[in-house]
Amino acid sequence: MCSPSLACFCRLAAAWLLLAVVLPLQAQETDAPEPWRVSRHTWLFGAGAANVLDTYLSPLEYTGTDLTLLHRRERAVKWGKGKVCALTQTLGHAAYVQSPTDDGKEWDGELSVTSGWLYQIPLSERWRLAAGGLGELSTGFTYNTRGSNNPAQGRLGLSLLATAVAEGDFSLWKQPFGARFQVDAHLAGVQFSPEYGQSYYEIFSLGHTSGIVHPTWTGNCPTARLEATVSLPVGRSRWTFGYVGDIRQSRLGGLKRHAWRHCLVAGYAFRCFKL
Amino acid sequence: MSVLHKHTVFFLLCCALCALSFSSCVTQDVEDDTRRGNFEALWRTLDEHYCFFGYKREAYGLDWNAVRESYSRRISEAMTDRQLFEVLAEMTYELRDGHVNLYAPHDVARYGAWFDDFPANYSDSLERATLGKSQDYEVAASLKYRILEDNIGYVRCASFEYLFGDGNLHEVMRRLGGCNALIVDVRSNGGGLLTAAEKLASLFVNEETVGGYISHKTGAGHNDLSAPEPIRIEPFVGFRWQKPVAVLTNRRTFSAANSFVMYLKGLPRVTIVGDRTGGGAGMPFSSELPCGWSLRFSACPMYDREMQCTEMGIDPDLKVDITDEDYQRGVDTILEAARSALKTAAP
Repeated sequence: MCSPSLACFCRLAAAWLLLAVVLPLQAQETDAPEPWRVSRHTWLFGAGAANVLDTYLSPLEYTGTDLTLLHRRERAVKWGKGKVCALTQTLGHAAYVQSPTDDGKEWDGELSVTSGWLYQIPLSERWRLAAGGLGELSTGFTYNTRGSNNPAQGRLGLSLLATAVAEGDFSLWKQPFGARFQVDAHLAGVQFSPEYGQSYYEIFSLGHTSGIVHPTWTGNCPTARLEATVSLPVGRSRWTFGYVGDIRQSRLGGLKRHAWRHCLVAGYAFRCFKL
Repeated sequence: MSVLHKHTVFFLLCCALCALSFSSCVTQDVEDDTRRGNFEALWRTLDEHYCFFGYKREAYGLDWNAVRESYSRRISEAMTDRQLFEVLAEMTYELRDGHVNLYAPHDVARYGAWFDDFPANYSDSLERATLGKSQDYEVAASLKYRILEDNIGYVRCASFEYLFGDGNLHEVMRRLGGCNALIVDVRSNGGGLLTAAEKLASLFVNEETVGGYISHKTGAGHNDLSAPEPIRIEPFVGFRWQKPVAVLTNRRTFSAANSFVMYLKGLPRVTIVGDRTGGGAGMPFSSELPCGWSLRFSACPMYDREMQCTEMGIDPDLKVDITDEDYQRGVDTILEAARSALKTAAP
């Protein structure tokens, strides 16, 4: 006999497993669809460490646990003659972090949706490079349990990212492994941030909104994301394991912020096609 | 350059940007968790974020660098937590600010001379004498109200910790609408939400009215302050008070309650009666020391309509103290003075 929550978890896990196995089977039952009809979906779940600093809330670095969820969809575009693919990526983080003395706690959340195009260059039969640009809409918050009139910090940003992907297959122990390495680096954008000592009361209750939108570039917003994964076919899907590092930093309005997140991830990838 | 080379270059550029981001760490220098480190962290945090250095240098000659030199001599690594706390607390008292607090597990440092050194001008016994027993008055949110025997409405507002609903204010106005005048008693109201103070003030304006101004720190310099912007009081949508009103104050009328008095002072038909308010015109922010102690300090200064800082309090229109004899007789001298003034002013 198991508890209701355990049973619920088992059902959920079974459903995901079914999804992971059945969807690829369905996807591959039709012969040779046009490339632009095929899209590759990757789901990654992970946990790791987070280090959060936001000088609007505290000068101290908070550290703790981070949970992450990533979904990526890649598809060749119809107009790209097989050389251009569209990439859409949704990345979510949730972290619970503590101050060095454990007196302060923070909840931190981040959600970003990125979308853009990559130009693909085959290096060999088994390896390809891809590079391009992505637009990103990101939002997030950090809530500090000790603050008075500065208990939380909200974030909203629009960015242009440079993205590069290296991907290929290799054999190991007679198994066909896949490897993927992706970097996304912030180039420019705009981001909301209060000024050094500006209160949210002034911004939202009084409507004093001057100076809260800041242009960003690599110098004041050195932000990047790194993903390194290997995948192994299991049945007709690919199980994926690896690392996702998400380094978000800014110096805006006299405030410093960083959220360094390093997660080990696991998940699966499957292909779908539309009729 | 071939297409392959172009994209290899782009790929390497992305990797380089990524590597740059990973290596360009945005960090904040923080002092070590030692006795001296915590002392320096407290001094520096206030030095960079406290908003009244310029004002208090003029008001009473505050020299924050001299304060550091003076207290630094008292710091030793052999100190106990309590000894360190005592020195740090005394250093914060130099700011003469009720919004500056240091929170340690064993105590909270709080500067109290702004009310300790003055008459209380209020007591629970006098409040009971005015409001009567529990059945004698009504309660709407945190407002207690009744009609006094001379047909003057009395509203006791002891706190702005909670926001009033429109329905609360509407019912209070409906109940007291037939009164000749109104008394709003904010004595010993230690503040709370500025939005609650604005809401209560909205009963007394018939058009959008500038209640004061607010600014904020824009950098670490003592004078790095934004241009003050107006705090606009929107009129209450509903029944608003159109007759004479007296606001009762004492030295413990502080923070958001001080702002409430600031919003109302100078409006037509409004008389401030009692003692000077306690001040507290800096919206407080929080920070932390390396040892984990929490710190609160004034961060956003507020000014009245004449751009005068109200950090050190607001003078009443009618200065009244409660005498010892009146305490013994159970007479609220300030309330009685307000009633007399309202009867004179009543249409």
